[in-house]
Amino acid sequence: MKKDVTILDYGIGNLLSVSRAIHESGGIANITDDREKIATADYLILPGVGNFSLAIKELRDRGFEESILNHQSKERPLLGICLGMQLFFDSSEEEGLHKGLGIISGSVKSIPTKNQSGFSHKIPHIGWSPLELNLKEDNESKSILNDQHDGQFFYFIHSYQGHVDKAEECIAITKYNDLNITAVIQKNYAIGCQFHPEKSGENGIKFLKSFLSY
Amino acid sequence: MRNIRLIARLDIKAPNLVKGIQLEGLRKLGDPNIFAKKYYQEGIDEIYFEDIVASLYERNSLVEIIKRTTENVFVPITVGGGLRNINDISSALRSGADKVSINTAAIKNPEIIKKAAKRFGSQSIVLSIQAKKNTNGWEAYFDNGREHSGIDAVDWASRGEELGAGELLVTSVDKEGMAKGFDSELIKEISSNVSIPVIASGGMGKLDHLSDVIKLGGADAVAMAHVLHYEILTLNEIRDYAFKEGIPIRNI
Repeated sequence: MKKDVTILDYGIGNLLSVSRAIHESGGIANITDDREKIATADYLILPGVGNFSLAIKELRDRGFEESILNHQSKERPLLGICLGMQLFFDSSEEEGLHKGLGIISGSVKSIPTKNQSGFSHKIPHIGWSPLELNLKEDNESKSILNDQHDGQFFYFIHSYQGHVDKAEECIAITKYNDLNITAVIQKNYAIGCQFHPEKSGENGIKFLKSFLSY
Repeated sequence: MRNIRLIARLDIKAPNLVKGIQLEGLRKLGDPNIFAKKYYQEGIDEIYFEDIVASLYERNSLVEIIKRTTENVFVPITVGGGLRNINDISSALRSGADKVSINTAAIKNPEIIKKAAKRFGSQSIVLSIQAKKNTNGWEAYFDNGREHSGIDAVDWASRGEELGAGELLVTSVDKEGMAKGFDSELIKEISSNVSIPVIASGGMGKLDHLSDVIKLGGADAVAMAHVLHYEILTLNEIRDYAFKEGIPIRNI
């Protein structure tokens, strides 16, 4: 049976592309800003591009923070994409210090522009980059990722990156020059990806299928 | 690792895909969605659509084409041509575009880059620079290479970064459609002056051109039209060549 997927419309993010990718992955996408519909959602997606402070303000002003946290506390599958993933963290330093949803312990900081030897990283980090899995035996079984995803390329576009406090909650990184970038985070049924699965070709569709298999 | 992106550039004169030489003398090639889908299936990293008459006739017909493309193409899509204000940008992004590129409107009013970057995030805003060589360097052109601005293209690139553009699309008007190689000097001047990614456009005709613009020019991404549309090179050939040359690209 096709799974119903609720995509949260809070005025930010490429909703059309996400809904089409869900359709391609075998789900039925519903874009909504109706809190009652969100409260009964099985699968919830928090998309997002742009600025953290604007996004978290929109979520709070529209009363969605509580909806998301309720959904998460019921152990229903939740997927944050790009900025949506960054919103899961405790805080972000994008244009001042802002409190996030606090689903994942840690913070969001800008990608450094230079490394120790003075090499400049172009910012934003834009492009296709492979995942390096960080799965321990205890998180392997319920992880959204498996060996099939290791080394697969996904599309990234971002200037900020998440830093987890608990290493096991970062289940994949990617490398940008010599930097380690948090690529996928997971805590039970709350999953976040820094890349855009809806823009990552076949690999992205496979990733969304994995999400829908929960 | 920093991977070089291979971008298919589709110039549109609605409803057709067209290709010109030095942005003029357009030939109709067919339905842009068919080309976009083919490139997607062959593993293109991104697709760039430019409505090349939009700015001249003050209209934008790309929205319908993008809506169709995003039904079954799951790679990033950039849209340019005739986007004049925040509403135009918003409507392109809402139709499935991930990024917009702005040239004419930014030359007429640079503040649009700042406003758009603040509203949609720098990563959505590409400053498109059409550069033509002159005796002192390069000058920025607009209205699809027809009008000159008097602005130095290299200075304009830095200014674009300051204003908040997340990326630069640099098209050499002299090299565009000639298939004789990129203006690697131009790309080098600009890419060494900014810390945002630079897409090189205009001039790809054979495999060696790719290596030149990346290794000599420092391009972060390469936009190709002629070689793909006329099937002079396949993406597989380009990919194989890049691996052989040690150019890091997506492994598919």
